[in-house]
Amino acid sequence: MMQKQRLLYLFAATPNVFSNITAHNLVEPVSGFRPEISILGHDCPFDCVHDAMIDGWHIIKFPVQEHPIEDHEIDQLGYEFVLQKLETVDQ
Amino acid sequence: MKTEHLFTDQDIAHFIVNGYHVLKLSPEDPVHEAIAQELDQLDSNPGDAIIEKVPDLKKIVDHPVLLGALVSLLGKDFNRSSHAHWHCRTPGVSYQHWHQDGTNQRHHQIKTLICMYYPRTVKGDMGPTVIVPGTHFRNQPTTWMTNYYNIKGQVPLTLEGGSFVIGHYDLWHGALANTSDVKRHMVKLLFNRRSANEIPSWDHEAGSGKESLDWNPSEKRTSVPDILTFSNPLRVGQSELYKERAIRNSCWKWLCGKK
Repeated sequence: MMQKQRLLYLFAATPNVFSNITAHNLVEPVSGFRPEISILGHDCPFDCVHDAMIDGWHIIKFPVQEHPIEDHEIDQLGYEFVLQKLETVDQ
Repeated sequence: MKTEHLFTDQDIAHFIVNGYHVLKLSPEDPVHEAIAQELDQLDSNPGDAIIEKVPDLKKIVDHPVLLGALVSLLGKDFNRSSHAHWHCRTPGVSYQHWHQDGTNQRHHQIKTLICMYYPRTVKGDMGPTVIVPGTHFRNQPTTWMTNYYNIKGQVPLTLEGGSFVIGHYDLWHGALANTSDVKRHMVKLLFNRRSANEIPSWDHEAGSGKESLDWNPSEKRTSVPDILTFSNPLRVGQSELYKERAIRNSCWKWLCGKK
């Protein structure tokens, strides 16, 4: 038996775990797996990070307050949370 | 020079908010299919020489609807960049990741337009360009975008043949995989502003930027201040929306020729 790590990147509108998800990306620990931009668009199963926590996802990286504080600057889109879920599989 | 097909104040405000506008260049004109067939026959990419290689493209560049849009957004003395490119997405090609073109020299004005011409109809399985409306003022190195895949509000450009998309140069864009059995053609052209406006270069109505805000939520916001203030295509939080509003209003004033 071994544990494999599933990764879920959630970009929330604010650093708050209850704020809306702006973008997402699920990475499965499967050989040949590659995420891609889809015609279906943003079909995240969770409305917020807290919903993912309820589903058993663990936050392994919280967003820092990285957005520029200057009022004339905007850059990245959303605040990046990285979550994991460990799954036990047969070797 | 009399210019027809100029943008309205609302068109300009929507462009400032969303960073793109779709034109229909006489889609019934057989020139589009003629161009597509010429592109089908190319066996190498002519790069900047695409118009010389496919001379019918000159008819597209000179189309009066396009001229009106370019004058509206760049002023009467705009020019076309020497850079052009044929983007052919062949069957089986994978997706293209999100990026901003060029190097990291962003601004909050409208100086260069990235224009994408599609001679044939583009369907969802043909590798359409995909854009994120409202991202054009966000300065984001492409390497920082690598963990973004599907973004709320992204728009695949599935379009009728003869469509011409005008985008702010810094608009985030990419492309979907082509899972069909046909080539998807797109010709990219760049147009540049040469001088700042002294007066609005579109079909401007005096006072249109000064109407009172309508604070009652409505799907039919049509005044320039309402469009610039309340539109939130990225669904960002309040403080970021405040920043976007300030940037949009600054851009509007700059386009109006106010120092």
